[in-house]
Amino acid sequence: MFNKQKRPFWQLSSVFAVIIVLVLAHSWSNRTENAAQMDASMADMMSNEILGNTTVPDLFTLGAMDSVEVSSGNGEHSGHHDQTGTLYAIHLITTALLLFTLPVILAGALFLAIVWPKSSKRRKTN
Amino acid sequence: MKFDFILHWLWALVFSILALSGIAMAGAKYGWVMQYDIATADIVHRLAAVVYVLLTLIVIIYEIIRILRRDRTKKPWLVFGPSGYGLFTFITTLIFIITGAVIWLFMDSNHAATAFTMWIHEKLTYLAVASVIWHIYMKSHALKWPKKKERKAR
Repeated sequence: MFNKQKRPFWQLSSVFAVIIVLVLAHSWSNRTENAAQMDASMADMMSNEILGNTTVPDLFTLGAMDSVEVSSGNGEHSGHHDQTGTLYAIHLITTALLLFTLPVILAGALFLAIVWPKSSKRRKTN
Repeated sequence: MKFDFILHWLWALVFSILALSGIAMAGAKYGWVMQYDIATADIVHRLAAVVYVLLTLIVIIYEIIRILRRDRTKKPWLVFGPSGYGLFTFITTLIFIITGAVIWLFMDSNHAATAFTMWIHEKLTYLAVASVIWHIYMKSHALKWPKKKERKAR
C-alpha cells in the first residue's frame, strides 16, 4: 500500500502544498488582482494570433525592428526600451554572455552526442 | 563535498527559480505564483537563465574532461548523462536554451519565430516540471538524512 521508502517525498509534497495554499490565500485576499480571467497562456495566445498565417520561411525572416524613436512615443514600449541605467547594462552583459556561451554549449553538446554512444558501447563490452 | 553533488543542487535551485518565474509569466492564470509582479518575474527569469546557461557550460566541460581523461568513475549526482534521466535533462536543457535564446534575441524582430519558440518553451516547461516531480519521487531516498551511515562510520 504505502511505501515507507517514499515517505520523504510525501513530506516534501505536503510542505509545498502548504506553501501553495498560503500563496493562493494571499492572492485571493488581494482585491486588485483580477487578472486571472484570461484563460489562455501567453504562448497559446501568441501562436493563435501569429502562427495561423505564417509559413516556415517566416520563422527565419527578420522583420523591421522597432526603432527607439518610434517606440518612445508608444506607451507600450516606452519603458521596455529604456537605454539608460543598471537594467540596460545588465541586459547588455547577460546578452553578451549568452551570445558567447551558446556556440560553445552547442559544440560541446555535439561532441557529447558523438562520444557518448561510443563510450557506452565500450562500457558494455568491457 | 563532491563537485557533482554541488552542481546537482545548484542546478535544482536555479531550475526551481526558472520554473517559478517562468510559470508566473506564462499567463494571467498562473500570475499568482509571483503575486502578479510580471516585471520582477521577467528580470529574475533572465538572470537565472544566464546562471542556468553557465551551469550547463560547466557540466558539459566537466563531462568532456572526464571523457578525455578516460575517467570511468560513477558520478550519480551529475546532471547530464548518456542514458536515462541524465539524457532527458541534457536534451530538454538544450531545447530550453535554444528556444530561450530565440525569444531573448528576436522578440522585437521576428514575431513568428518568437511565437513558435515560446510555445515550445512553455509546453516543455510543463513536461520538465512533471519529470522533476517524478525524479524526486524515484530518488526520494536521497532526501533522507544519512544518520545510519554516520553511526556505521563511527
